[in-house]
Amino acid sequence: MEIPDQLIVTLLIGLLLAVLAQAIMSYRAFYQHKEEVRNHLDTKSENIVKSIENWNIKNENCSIRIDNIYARLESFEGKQEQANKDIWTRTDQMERRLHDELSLLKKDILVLQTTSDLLRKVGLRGSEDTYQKRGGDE
Amino acid sequence: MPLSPAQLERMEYLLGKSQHTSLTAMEQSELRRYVVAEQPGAKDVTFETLVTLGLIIVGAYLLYKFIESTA
Repeated sequence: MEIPDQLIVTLLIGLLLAVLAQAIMSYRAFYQHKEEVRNHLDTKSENIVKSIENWNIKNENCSIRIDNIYARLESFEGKQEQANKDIWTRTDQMERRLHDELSLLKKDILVLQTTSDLLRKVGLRGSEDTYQKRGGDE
Repeated sequence: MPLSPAQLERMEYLLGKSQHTSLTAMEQSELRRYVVAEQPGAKDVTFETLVTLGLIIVGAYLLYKFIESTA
């Protein structure tokens, strides 16, 4: 049985068309997948960019806060230094005042001691005389 | 002065006696009563402090008498 050439040609052409169609479909599928991957990557890239932007904003906020903290710390250190100076100044004043008061107190005590010693001596002599006058014992 | 001259003289005598011999409990109590009459803060002080205060009071009294007699 002899296959007619026309049929062979038709079959070859059909086969060729089928292969071509398959190739076109594969190509199209490949590009679709490539497009999906690209979109996915774009989305991921955008997310990463947003994350980096957010991180940068946060970082900037942190820097501002750190600057504020440093400013407050410097202010606090200044206040503390001033407070230390005030305390030492007051301590010196108090020490001087206490020293002056102590000197006055020592003077007063000396005057009182002298007075009481003199009075005690007078009292001692007077009581001795009175005791002896009464013959030593009643 | 809260104490009479007689009481002050008695106090003088007791203080003089205390320099030679120890006072009896009654005498110590009497002396304390005289000193406390002049100085209420001496209520709970020791006998030694009481004698010192008594001598000062008597000394002041004698000086007062001396100044009064010369005036």
